[in-house]
Order: sequence, then structure tokens, then C-alpha cells
Amino acid sequence: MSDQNTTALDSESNVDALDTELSTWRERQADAWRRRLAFLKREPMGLAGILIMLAIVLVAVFAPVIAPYNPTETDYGNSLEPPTAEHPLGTDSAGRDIFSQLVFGARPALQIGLLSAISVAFVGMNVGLIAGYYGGYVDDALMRLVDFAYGIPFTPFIIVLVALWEPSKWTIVGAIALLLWRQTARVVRSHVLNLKEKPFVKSARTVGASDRRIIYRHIAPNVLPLVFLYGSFAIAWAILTEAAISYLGFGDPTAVTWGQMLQSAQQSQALARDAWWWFTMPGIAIMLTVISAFLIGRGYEEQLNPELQEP
Amino acid sequence: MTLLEVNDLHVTYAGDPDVEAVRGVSFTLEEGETLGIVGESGCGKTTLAQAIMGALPDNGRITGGEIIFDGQDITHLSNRERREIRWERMSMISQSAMNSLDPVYRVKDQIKEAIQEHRDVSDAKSYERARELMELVGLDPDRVEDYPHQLSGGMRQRVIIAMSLALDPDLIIADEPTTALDVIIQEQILYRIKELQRELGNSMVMVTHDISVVAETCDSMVVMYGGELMESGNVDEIFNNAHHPYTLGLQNAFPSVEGEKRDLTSIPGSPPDLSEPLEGCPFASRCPFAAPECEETVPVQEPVDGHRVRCHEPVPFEQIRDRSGEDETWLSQNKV
Amino acid sequence: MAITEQSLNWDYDGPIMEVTGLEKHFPQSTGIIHQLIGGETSHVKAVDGVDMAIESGETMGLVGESGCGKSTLGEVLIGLQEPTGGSIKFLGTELDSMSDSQRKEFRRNVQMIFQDPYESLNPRFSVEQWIREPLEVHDMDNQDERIYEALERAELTPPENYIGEHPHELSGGERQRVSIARALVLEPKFIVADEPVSMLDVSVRASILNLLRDLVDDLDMGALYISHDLSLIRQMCDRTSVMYLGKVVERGPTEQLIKGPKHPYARALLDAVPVPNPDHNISEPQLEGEPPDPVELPEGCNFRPRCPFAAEECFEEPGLDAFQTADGEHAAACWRVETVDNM
Repeated sequence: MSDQNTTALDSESNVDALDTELSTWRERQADAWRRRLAFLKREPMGLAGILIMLAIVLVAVFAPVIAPYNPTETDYGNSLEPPTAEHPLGTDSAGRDIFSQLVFGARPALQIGLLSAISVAFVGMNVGLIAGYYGGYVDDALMRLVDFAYGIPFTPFIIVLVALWEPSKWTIVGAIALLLWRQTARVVRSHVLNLKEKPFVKSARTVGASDRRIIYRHIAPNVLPLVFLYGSFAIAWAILTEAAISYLGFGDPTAVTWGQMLQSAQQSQALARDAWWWFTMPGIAIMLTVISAFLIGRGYEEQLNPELQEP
Repeated sequence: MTLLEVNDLHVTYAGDPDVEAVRGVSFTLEEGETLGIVGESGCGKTTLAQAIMGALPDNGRITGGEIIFDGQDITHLSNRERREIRWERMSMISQSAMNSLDPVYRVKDQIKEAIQEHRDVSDAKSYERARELMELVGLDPDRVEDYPHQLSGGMRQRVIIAMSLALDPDLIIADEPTTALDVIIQEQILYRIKELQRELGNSMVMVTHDISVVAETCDSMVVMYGGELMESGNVDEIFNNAHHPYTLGLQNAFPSVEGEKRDLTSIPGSPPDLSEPLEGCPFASRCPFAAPECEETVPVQEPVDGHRVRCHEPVPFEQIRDRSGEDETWLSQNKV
Repeated sequence: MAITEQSLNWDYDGPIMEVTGLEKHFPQSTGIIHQLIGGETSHVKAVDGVDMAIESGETMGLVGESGCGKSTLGEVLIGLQEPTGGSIKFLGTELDSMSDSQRKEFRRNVQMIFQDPYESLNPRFSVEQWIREPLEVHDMDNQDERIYEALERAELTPPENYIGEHPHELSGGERQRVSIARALVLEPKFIVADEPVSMLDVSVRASILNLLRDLVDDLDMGALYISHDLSLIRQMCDRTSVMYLGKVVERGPTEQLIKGPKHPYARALLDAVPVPNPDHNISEPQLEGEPPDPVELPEGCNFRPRCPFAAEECFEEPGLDAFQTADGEHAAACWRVETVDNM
């Protein structure tokens, strides 16, 4: 490294200059990160959200290590056991370990949440960008589509989709992608309407930049924080939706998900049989995940508003 | 008689880090007089105006000195006591005020509210007063029925002036009242403000970056830089006999349509960081005449030829005055 | 495919930018019912028949109140907006008749510097990325060298200190220099500067004005400098046009115009500029009120309803030839120049 330095720059002062430049660059990078993360100090709720989400992600990744049992392994000799040392959260009517089901259930929950968030962000952002930037007939057509998407009731729509396709998590992701982009698109569009009048966009047009370049290099990065915000809300919606659909019996019966756990608890009349651990645990898991996604979104939103005014 | 006296005022904004925006400013304002506060962005002029008005942002606090208004120390009044003085005895026309009119209420309702907030006046009487005020600021009284969006920027600013006059205050603080407006509208509004002041006899503090506005409308002026007062005195005196290099730099940087065309100077460098504590003269780093003492000790405000100057005068001021008109003087300083 | 791959006429020795009868009318939305009953669409006449010629090495000043159409004219000149009438010639070639390749050359050779230094740079681009973009768009060679050269020309020296910066790390004056560097990096022949210093601190204005003036000289560009402030125009411009409600009402050498304005509107505009001289107290404004809506323009001279000197003859519209000096350099669209001069 020092060899390269001396060949590239012959005098010592140049090396010094490079060193100071590098260190100021590093300081600046560190500063930038500190500033980006500084909101966590001001937004303890957001921090809590991130910590919970992080915990859930770790659980999902290391599920086979954490779970003491195979979540689908039945053991009718130990059915409906309350929490014990062997089964920390008890077992269900087929003797399956609730804790293990819970741990493995984090995987589909996060998969559905993240995939939905990505598809909502992708579709919503592009529709918003194109409608806002081109305006006129393009805008009219896309915004009527948004109105149409707003007009469709969410749960019945998914049930119909499940009936048409097959009960799986992909159906749920698809349904959310087909409907929930509407809000992102609308918000992004209104920001684009504002951004495209900014002098820096005019400046890009003046140097001859193409529409595509203007949309994706100049405007899109400035709406990305908003897209991220709506994406994080989509995570919460997706997980709730999966739970609701599974509970209603339209889920994939073979999958280990929190929604399926609730559904089988309901079918086996867990409540009447006083097996509270069977339905409260997945309920708490769903609640924690949804709340953490909302908290992250909220904290980020609080952060976003003043920042948007600052250039 | 002295209406307003500011002594060694300090204002600090709490933050990370704290910013001391006003650092020991003193001046007095006589009854019926207009005082101009000039300086560039970040010099603390708006903060100073807000401190006098008792309208500092939430994180701003007076950390030293005093403000004496009509013989009364108002530095640390409670919000309630402040409210009694505000609008009744002193009012403010701010830069962004014309956008602060509530879009969903008619002009008459907003003026009426400003009156009835402080005085027990009947609806009919305050409506009459609203029409009277509109006429006073040169607007058609029938336009009290309009909503703000039906008025142009210049008209909205006139409405704000009308509201500031509603309770006949002794002191009006105008913070960049015409900055967002065109020259023709600016002239109309400044002229109206001056006319009203002549008729009503109130005092005024005019905060602006534009020294030509001060020249045309003020009796005395203070020049601020880096939260401090650099030079103050009578307007004629400061324009014809400025001593401070910053004042001279500002004057030479200002274009004019009058007289022969001359080259403008610029002042290279940037204003000081007000989150840092004070060492020496705040202008030293940009001053082509600065000597070592300027970096080390804070100059005191000394009376010179009928005005006050805060400068060590490292070279005789005649020399400062002659050389500050040449762009090379300022540019050479940049290269050091 | 374009058969004619010829480039613009670089040997043309006429004005670099010439417009005749230029119009930009915006249709006003009038509502469906109005259209159904066959009502005519009214137009906002932002630019309404402007003639102007700008030579290489010359800076033309364009002055007027906000809403007079001066910014629209600037944007039409550099092709940001399509004109609705009249012609624009760049290097003698009509904009409308340019081939695709000529159009690209035009795009590269006319640039703009905007008013607001805080909004005219993309906050997410570094200085280097921002200045490189035009070079990428036009697929130019030796990009690094060009970027350095442009930064040096804009007096952002040494360039190494600036290329990695983002807008929020720069002062207003530095940002405006970055805008200038971005406009210069394509080596344009014509540049529009729309109030480039009005949002800067007084102490840095002069340096930006001097820089622009030197660049126009050194690079032999043509320039249009737009402002509402004649004192700034005076520092920058060889000739000046005064615009009122979409029309040029006076044109002349800047000093001549400032020392002896002819059109009553130019007189008022000059009178309204505050002067840094304490002996000069604010005087009664020559003009009351504000310009009328440019939708329903008055008959005859546009300025007639506000003009203190209006007379019978003003019901006929004056052209710029209504008053002209012997050499034709100084002209005003007013019938009553001589009468008013003698008052």
C-alpha cells in the first residue's frame, strides 16, 4: 500500500495530503452514518421497532437451531400439554411443540412481508413516477387505475384470488402486490409533481438528459425514502393478511404459519378446552411483528418530514 | 425620549451544538425614529428582531443582557405579560408573513381577530376599523371581503402591515418586509410604511440585507456580522464616514443605478461558525487589514466621530477606506 | 433516418441567437361548460411578439416585474418550452427546421443558470457526478479533464477539494459556481442566467457577476441575463431590454438606458430601485397598483392603464420603432417620449 503511494505520488507532502483527505473522507462517512442513525436516539419507538424486527429476523434465520422439535412432528401422547420444561410453550392437540411452530412460523411471515413490501414499493413507485412525470393522458389513465384499485375490497378480493389460484403464500403476496401499490403510487405521484418543477430537474432537461434518466436518476432517489416508508407498512399489512386468510381457512393447510396455528386452534376449539397457550402465542408473535413494522415506519416518517424540507 | 434600549444582548439556540446567534449587541432607539439593522444571512439580525418581539423559536433563549422597552425591563417577562405588550405596543411584519394569512378566513375576519384578541371591541366597530386600516395601507376597503388567495403577494403584505397597525403600536419591527417582492411593489410598500410612520409617529426597526433600503428609509443603523455589532450610528454618518472594513466592504459590494458605473468588490470567505466560542473579531478571517491582535482579542465598541465602531483599526482608517474600494484588496486576502 | 447529417453553421457571423415575433401563449382552462357552449379559450400571453438578437460575446439584459414573461422567454430560448409562434434562430438556423443531429448540437450549446442555488442542484449528486452528467448525456470524451477545467473556470479551485462534495456541504456562492461549471462543461455558445445572484449574500454577488462577465468575454458566448433589478443588470449587460406584459417596451445600450430611460415604464422601474445613498429618501412611487392579468390585455398600448402620461394616441399600439435614436440603438415602444422628455 505504501509502495503504491510512493510510486503514484512522489513527494511526502502529497502522501500526507492523501492521508488527511482519506481520513476526512472516513470521518465524513462516519458522520453521515451517525446522522442517519441519530434519529434512533430521538425516536425510541423506532429503535424498539428495529430491535424487535431484528430479533424476529434472527429467529427466522436460525430457526432449526433454536427450535427444540420438528414443528410438524406429532406426538399424540403429549397432546394439549400446558407449558412445561420440555415444551416451554406447550403443545397442540396433535402434540406438536408450540414454541417450535412459532419459531418456524417466523420464516413465512418474513418472506411474505418482505416480498409484499418489495412488490408494493416497485409497482407503486413506478406507477407514481410515470404518472407524475408524464402527466396528461398517462397520468389520467394510471390514476383511474389507482381509483379502481381503491374500489376493490381487500379481503374478499384475496379470497377470490385464493379460490382462482391455490392457497399459498404466493397468492397472498400477489394479491397485496395487485392492490396495495395504490397508496404508494398516489403519494409518490404527488411528490413527483412537485419535484419535476424543481430547478435541478429543469437543469437536467437543459443538458439534454432523456426522460428515463430524469425519472430514475434525478426524481426516483428523492422519493425513495417515501417508498421505503410505505414498504414498511406493507410488511405489517401482509403479515396480518396472511394470518386473517389462514384463520378463515383459505391458507395452505400444510404450511407452518402463525395464521395456520390460529386456524387449527380455532378448529380444535382450543378456547373451550382452556388451551390458552395455543392461540395466545401465535397472536403475540403476529402482534409483535406487525407493531415493530409499524414502529419502524412511524419513526422513519417522523424523521422524514423535517428532512424533506431540508435540501 | 428613548423607546427601546438593548444592552449587551446574547441569544443562544439550544441544539447539538448550541449556537450563540446574538453575541452582545447594544443600541438604543428614540421615539419616532427608524433604525435599520443590516447584515448578511446568518449574522443574527432576525434573531435579534425576534428577541425584541419576544417571538424567539422554542429552542432560542436570551442568555444575557437586557431589553428595556419604554422604561420597562422586558427581558424576562412571562409569556402572558409578553402577550400584553406584543401587538398592542409593538408589532412585527416578517418576511414570510404574507404567507401566514389563514387561507380559509376572509381578510376582514383576520384583521378583526387581531383586534378582538386584545381589545373588547364590538364586531361592527372592529369591522369599521378593518376597512379603515385597508385604506390606510392603500388597498380598496371592499377587499376585506376577499380570501388571501384572491390577493397578490404585494397586497397580502399590505394586509399584514394593516394588521400590525391595528392596535396602533409604538414600535413596529419589520423583518425583511419586501424581500420577496419586485422593486416596484417594494417601493410602493416601503413608501407606504414611511408615510404611515410619519402620520402615526411610531418608531420602527427595519431588518434587512439591503443597505440601499436602509439608506432610503432609516435614520440610524447598526451593521451586524457574526452575531455582533460592527458599527452603528446615524445613517448619513455611516454611509459617508464608515470606519469598519466590513461596513466598507458591504457598501462597495452594493450596485447602484445612480452616478457613474463602478466595479463592485466582493468579500471572499464565509461567515464564522456561531457554534464556536468567540475569539477576537468575528470578521478577522475575511478582513484584508486584519492584524494578529484582531484574531486574539475582541475589539470593544468605541465611539468615533459621532458613531460607534467595533474594530482594532490595525491600519489608519483613511487607508482602510481608500483600499477597501478595490477588488484586489479583498482578493489578495483570499490568497494568503 | 436522418439523411442530412450536417452540423450547424459555425461560420455564421450574424447574431448567435435571434428571435422574431416570438410568442408563448398558455391556454387557460375554462371549464367544460364554457367549452360546451362554444366559448373561446382564453390565453395567458406570457411572451407576445418579442424580437431580439444577441451577438457572440454580448450579454443582453432582460428586466421587468415578475409575471412580465421574462423567465418564460428565457426558457423558450433554450428550448425548455416550445414557443407557440414566431421564430428562433440559433447560428442562423431556424430551430423548427433543425435535423435531429443539429437539434442535439443546439441542446449542447445552449445552457442555463438558475436562480435558486439551493434547489438547482440535485441534493443526491456529488459535484463530480453533477458536472459529469451533461458529458455522459452527450457522450463526450476526456470527461475528467473537462470536469477539472470547468471547475477551474468557475473558480472552484483546487478542483480536488470540490469534486467529492455534496450540495449541502457548500455555501450558496459555491453552489452557484457549481451550476456555472455544469453549464460550462459542454462549452456552450449561448447561456441564459435567470436571476443568478438574487438569492446570494451581497458580499458574494459581485464575484459571481464578475465571473459570468469574464466567461462571456473569454469564451465568446452570447448571454441573456434576466433580473428585476436594474442595478445588477447594469453591472453585467452591454445592452438591455425592458419587458412589460410579454412585450419588449424599450431596448438600448445599458448605460444609455439607465441614464436616460424613455418608456414611462422603464422610468418607473429605474426610479423604484433603491439607492445606497442616504441623501436619496424614498420618493412617491410613479406607479400605483400592479400589472393587469395578461389574459385580457388593454386595447392599444399595454401600459396605457397604468401610464401617467397616456393620451389619445396610446389607443393605437406602439411598436419598438415608435421612438428610436438616430443610430437605432436605443428604441422604445412609446408614442410620447418627446412630450414626456420636455415635461
